[in-house]
Amino acid sequence: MDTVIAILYSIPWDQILIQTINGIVTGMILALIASGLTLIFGIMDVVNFAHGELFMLGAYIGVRRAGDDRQFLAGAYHRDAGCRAARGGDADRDAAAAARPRSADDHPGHLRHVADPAELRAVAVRPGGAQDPGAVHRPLHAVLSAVPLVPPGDRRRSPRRSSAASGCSSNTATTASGSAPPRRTA
Amino acid sequence: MAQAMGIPVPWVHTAVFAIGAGMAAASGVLFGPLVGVNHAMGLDWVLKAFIVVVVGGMGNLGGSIAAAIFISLLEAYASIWVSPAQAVIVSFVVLILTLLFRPTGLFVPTPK
Repeated sequence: MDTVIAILYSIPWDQILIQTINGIVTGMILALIASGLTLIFGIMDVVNFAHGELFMLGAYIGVRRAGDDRQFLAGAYHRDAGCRAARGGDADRDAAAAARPRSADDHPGHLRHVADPAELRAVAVRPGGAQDPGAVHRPLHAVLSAVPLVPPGDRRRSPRRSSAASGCSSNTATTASGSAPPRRTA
Repeated sequence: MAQAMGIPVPWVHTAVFAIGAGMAAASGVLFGPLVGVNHAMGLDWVLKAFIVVVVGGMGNLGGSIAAAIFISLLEAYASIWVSPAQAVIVSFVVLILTLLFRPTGLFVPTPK
């Protein structure tokens, strides 16, 4: 009986609780990856060893968006609408108005700037003015914004897609400097 | 046979690959802010996912989900006593034992 109690005391229960939660989190992520792998293997009979690279690509794009917006998923749509409105266009401005938060207190921080198209235009011409990513994301953000995600030829052809891929700061900057006229895509 | 019944097989293949790739990308988006992001992170995870697929049974969706949680819990518990980098050993041990004693996968019903 004493040995049983001694063994029970020797087990670190708090760490086991922490590691259980940790393992479940990792396990859910792994389940998502593995079910995609299983799906492709089961239907197509292909062991997709490029699955990890798709995972890596998703992580890069997700962290890039989160670093730009400082809000994980909710900020992306607001910011896109604000950028489109800054490039001009009434339909886009309506989209920005629809995406505008009801009160400034709902979305604290720089999203208040995004809500107002004129203010965004004023801020965006200042280099680095519109973007102030958090200190945690700053090194990664600096590395990522040095590498354009689309080649320059593609950017002219499809301006909206390039703004979605590489953040809208470059687009608004070229628009403001007058080198490229704002193009209506809608 | 599916082609004969009017199912567009190439289209289904494309859609399945898109769904699988989308699942990988979604898990990457969810997991990227938790750990650091680097260009070599895919190799680690595709190895783990491959172990999970083999342990859960090839082509068995429910089995792979169960095996994913099973292996992650084992690794998490192992990382209490050894360092987390060495806890990967546990999943490889599970893979080897599975391939030795039950090659069809742990989480598939026993074939009669």
